[in-house]
Amino acid sequence: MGYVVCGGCAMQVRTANWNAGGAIPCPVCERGVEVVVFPAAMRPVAGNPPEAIVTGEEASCYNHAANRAAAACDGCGRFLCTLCDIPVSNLRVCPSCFETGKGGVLEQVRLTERTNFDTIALALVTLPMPLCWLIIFTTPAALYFAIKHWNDPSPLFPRGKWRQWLTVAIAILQVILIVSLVVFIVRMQGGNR
Amino acid sequence: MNRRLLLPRESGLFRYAELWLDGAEILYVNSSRFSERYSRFQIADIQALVVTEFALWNPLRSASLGLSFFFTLLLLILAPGAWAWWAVVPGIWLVFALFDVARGPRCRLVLHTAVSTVTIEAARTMKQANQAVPVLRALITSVQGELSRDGMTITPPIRSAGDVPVVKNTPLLQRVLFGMLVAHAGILAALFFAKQMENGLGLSFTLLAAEIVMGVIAFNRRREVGIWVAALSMVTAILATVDAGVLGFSMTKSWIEFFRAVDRGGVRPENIEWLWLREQTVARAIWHAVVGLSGWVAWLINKEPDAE
Ligand SMILES: [Zn+2]
Ligand SMILES: [Zn+2]
Ligand SMILES: [Zn+2]
Repeated sequence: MGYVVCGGCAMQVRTANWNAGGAIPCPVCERGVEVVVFPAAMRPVAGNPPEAIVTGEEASCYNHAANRAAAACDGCGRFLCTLCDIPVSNLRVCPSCFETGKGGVLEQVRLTERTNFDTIALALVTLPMPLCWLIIFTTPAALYFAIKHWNDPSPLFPRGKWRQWLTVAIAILQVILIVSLVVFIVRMQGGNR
Repeated sequence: MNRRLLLPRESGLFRYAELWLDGAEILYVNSSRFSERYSRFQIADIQALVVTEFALWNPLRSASLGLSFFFTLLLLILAPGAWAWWAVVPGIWLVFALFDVARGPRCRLVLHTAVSTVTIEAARTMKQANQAVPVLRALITSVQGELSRDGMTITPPIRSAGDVPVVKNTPLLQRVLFGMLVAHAGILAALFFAKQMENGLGLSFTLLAAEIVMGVIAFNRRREVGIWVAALSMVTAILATVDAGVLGFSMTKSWIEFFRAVDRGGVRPENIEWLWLREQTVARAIWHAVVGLSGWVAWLINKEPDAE
């Protein structure tokens, strides 16, 4: 198991310096490196998997104890062999997560990332305010994101809707401001004529 | 949902990272605020943690601190009269640079499993790593047991993962903020009794700007500090914004009057006649004292349950 490297220079850390109870200076970049190794590391895993486990101590598939682990499920994190590894769009999931996903847990399984359109909308409606002419473009975009993604699910960390409400409120204020400005300018020019 | 935050959130302006204990998994959240990624690691599968320490001082950090300090001082000393108030801009930069230095040496924490190697952004300073590693280590050994230094023997686990203590946040930012409010009130009171109130206006303007920024950041960390501390952070930001508006208005108005008086000729006025000087100083001192002290009380009340 030679993958443990110094985080500063990628130099391999000698096994004698593992679990040393503290940091040991890297011989190359002299940064302190602390390596804590756990029993799971003593289950060797092969680089190219011909499936079958040879020594019985290797990292094995959660479902097939005789097969080598080749990936981790994006739904539950369990190790999978090449048989159990089901590609779903850009994810790799285990058979049980694939199945339960159909019953409504699919969001949970899919959730390896989330785009926070509510935050994007709020940023779009507030950040360009100092460059006032820019809001002609950014405020409609902010409203679009806020409304289009109004009901985006967020099962892992519930977010509430205050960002969307705030976006809409600020956008309305901006529209009122722009309209009154236009009316004011038009009246001024009318008065000059 | 039985999920526990293992460490206080590590956050910046456009990023944050968290480590959660979620059943038999560690859930790692890495967010840019606009989008976030979730990774799950079965505790039984974690093979190693590697912490590499990085020196605190690098050219960028030294330059940031040096330049912000230089420009703040330059504007405070050399700028004529009212222009000195522009020292607020490098002053805010200086405050951030000082906070950055106060966080101490940085680090990289890497987590290994048999199939992945992930840099954990939830611990970016040695202080955080020194909190994170013992917690993660206790969790992992509670499931896997402990490996001897030679890698030959495994001591079986002695306690269950549920008993592993999590790291409570010490709300330094909030304490600094509320301390600053009380100090600000104290300075205003001293100037009031010394009949030097006009000398506090520039300082108040700088401090109000800092209070707005810190209040918003403190409110943003509301999940770690309890509802009262969070609410008072928000109250601080709002009151400081209103107050800065009043101060800005009175400043502008007073200057306009001053320049008009100069324009009119005749006897040149010796001093600017500050609008609402007494009223705004008293109001400012009172709200700073009340909010600052309430903040400390709220923090002390919030601290109690953690001590159990
Ligand atoms: Zn190195
Ligand atoms: Zn799964
Ligand atoms: Zn399998």
